[in-house]
Amino acid sequence: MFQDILITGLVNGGVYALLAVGFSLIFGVARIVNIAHTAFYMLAAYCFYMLLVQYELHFAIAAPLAVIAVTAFSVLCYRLVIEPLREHESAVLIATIALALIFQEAMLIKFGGNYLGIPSTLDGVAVLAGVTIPYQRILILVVAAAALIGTWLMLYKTRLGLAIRSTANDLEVANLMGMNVHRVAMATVAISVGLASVAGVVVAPVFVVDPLMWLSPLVTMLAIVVLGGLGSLKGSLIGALIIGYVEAITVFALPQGAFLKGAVALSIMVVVLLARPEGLFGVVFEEER
Amino acid sequence: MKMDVVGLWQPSPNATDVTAELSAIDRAGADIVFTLLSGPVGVVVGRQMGERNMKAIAFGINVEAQKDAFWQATAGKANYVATIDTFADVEMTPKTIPFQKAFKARYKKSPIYTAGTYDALHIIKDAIEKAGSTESEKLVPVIEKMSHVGTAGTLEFDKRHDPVWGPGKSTGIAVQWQNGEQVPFWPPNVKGMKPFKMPGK
Amino acid sequence: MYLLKRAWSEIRNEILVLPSRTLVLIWAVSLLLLPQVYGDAYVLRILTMTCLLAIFAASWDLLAGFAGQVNFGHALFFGGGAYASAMASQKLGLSPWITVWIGAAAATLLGLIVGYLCLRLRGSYLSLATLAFPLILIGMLFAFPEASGGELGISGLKRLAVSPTDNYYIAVVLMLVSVFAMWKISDSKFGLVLHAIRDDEVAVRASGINTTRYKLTVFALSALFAGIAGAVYAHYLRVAGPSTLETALSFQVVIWGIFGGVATIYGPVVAVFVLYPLTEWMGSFKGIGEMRLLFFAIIVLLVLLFMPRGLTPWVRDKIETVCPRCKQRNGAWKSQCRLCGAGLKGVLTAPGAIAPR
Repeated sequence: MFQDILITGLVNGGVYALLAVGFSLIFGVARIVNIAHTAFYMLAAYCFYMLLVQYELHFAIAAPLAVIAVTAFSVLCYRLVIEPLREHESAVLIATIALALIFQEAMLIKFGGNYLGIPSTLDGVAVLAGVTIPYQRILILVVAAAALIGTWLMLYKTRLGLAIRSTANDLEVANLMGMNVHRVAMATVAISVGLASVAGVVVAPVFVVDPLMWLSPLVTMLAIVVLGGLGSLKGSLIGALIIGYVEAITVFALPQGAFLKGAVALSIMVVVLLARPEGLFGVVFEEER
Repeated sequence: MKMDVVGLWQPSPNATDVTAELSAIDRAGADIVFTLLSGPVGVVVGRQMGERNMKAIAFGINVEAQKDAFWQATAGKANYVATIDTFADVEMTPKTIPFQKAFKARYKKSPIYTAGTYDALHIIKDAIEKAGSTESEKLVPVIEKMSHVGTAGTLEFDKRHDPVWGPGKSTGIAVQWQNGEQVPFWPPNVKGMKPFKMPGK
Repeated sequence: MYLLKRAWSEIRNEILVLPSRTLVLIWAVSLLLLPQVYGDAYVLRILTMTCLLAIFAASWDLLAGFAGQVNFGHALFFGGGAYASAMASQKLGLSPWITVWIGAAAATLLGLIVGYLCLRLRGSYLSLATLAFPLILIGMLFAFPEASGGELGISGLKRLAVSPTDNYYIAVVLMLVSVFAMWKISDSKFGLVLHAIRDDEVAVRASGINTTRYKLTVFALSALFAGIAGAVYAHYLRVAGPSTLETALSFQVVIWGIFGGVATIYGPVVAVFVLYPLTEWMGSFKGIGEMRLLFFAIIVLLVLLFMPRGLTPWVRDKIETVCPRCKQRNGAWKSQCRLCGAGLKGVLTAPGAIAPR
């Protein structure tokens, strides 16, 4: 049982981390609470389904294509919808909710409400320490780790990363130093949604694809991000693992209450917030006066 | 034959992942997973059980597995998943197969339990004609005595106004997914039934 | 006779001088007269729901718009009120006229609890943390299906009144009274402090005001109104189910609030009265009925792009101008302020007036 918890929690935590890190990034840089974040994850899953199952493209072509298409689309959405509203924080918020609803309804009209399945990229199972894990899940873990390491390298080893981090630190000063903060924000949107679409593509073959699939990870993701501290990448990563493990432990310790795992995870978040209102790794930033 | 209940797991109907539950079930050494599932979790359970090559068999009710789209939704992983269903290409009554054909021709998919409304409407129509009234007080005694040969079975009602359940009356049909086909296997002695299959290992 | 005269002069001097107030009066009177003219049960049903949701939306604005506590889980109070009232009615067999108040009290209690838990949270943290509360309550309700009816909820509730017209009047009167009450609260000194808390809590505390007490009070008040709306809604639909606690409902109220214009109280009400019947009406068309949520979202998005501060502030700026000297509002056609006589149309009129922006 112990090894089950260890491995299940790790795999689930990996997927959550992909979502949470992207969300945290865009919040840190542009102060956008992007409710549509997981809706992009859903779009990526549908896009992957369309390319792989309907157009019968090879996996190695369909997956990158889906990620690129959704990322490009997100930049377009940002330019057309979010950028004109940037001064009005509350308007940005419901604009992202409206976008998410539009995506959901568009997919419902295009693909119907059926649950769709995507064939596994890798078939078969591995048995690790007595725990059965399908290869697909190991793939998820590997891809998640690679994407996260890639993001980390990008943030800490490139000039763009430096620009993103400094904009997140202080938008006004970054602007005064001659950085094009709009460009930086746009690049961050692309990276953030890129991570979400990678998650959508690798997860789609394990989960069920349907127009409402963005709602439940949304809540989990928000809980993780708040738990870890808004805008903190390290916090999101650790928060994701905590929630992944809490969910796994709930299922094993309380089998009849498996449906409560979401509520338990949220309660953990509330408890952490009570003790540390800025989350585990959040920085207390002075509210702008 | 003696059976033990090794555990009870209640995933959320919207769960997208039941890995933790399934590993716990594996650990508990279950042979049969008696499913009571409605909602997308039915697809997830079917698929993930297949992917894990679980030795336990899913048997019970899984609304998603009644639908034609189940095989596609599970990406063909849900072999041997069994569920109770309402319609199939078997002669439960002489009306079953014609109804099944007509339904498919019109809606381009097989009927699931919701199509049972067809029989219900016919019962109420017959009752209204017989009683010559639409008042519930007059309809109840008529329906109490009625024996209606419907599309899914022969419907009669007991003292508590529940349908009488059992072979020859109304039972539902047990079906199993076998290589992309929904195969009916129960109740026995009905024309068109095929054998139940066990995972071959 | 004297009273009538007094009332008329009140109406003429306080309401008819401003187009926005005139519109509100016309709207309230037509709501009250509607069933006498056009008693279609379907229309009354839509408007009954609209009224109840309008209370709910306005209560969100009191908390989020005025006090700046942007609640993402406002459905907690709506659903809490609905469930508490339903349980009291079903388990104790009380009349719905009593249980609605039990629901409201339960919601107020929930408001105090959430308010207490969120005292130290700010901005986005508060929003995202509040999102969790309704979901935790759903989890708790599902854990005790005997009491809560599980996923099916508690159904077969008694109605407050039988006929559609009576139900309609209950909802309309309740809506007018609560919205007016909330508007008065927001316009009072209490409301002023809330405004100040939203803009700079530290400064308010430095001025010797107990912000904790104010924040808790506004959480309780907002929850009270949302709870009443939820309880009446449950008895009207005769069911209290998990859908009253869903994230979708919490988002819906945020959309209404921001779409109508925050920190106005009437803004969200207008938004509900525009958006709710509109989506229902779109549903009646065959081709687009299935796409109504899509149209809803597109409309919200387009309106926002043109009126980022929301619908009502935009309309208000079109039909009214603010006097540059005394900050009072005037009809857009006026050239002089009705209260202080300052010129409103640039520098053309009264000398010494400041040109409006």
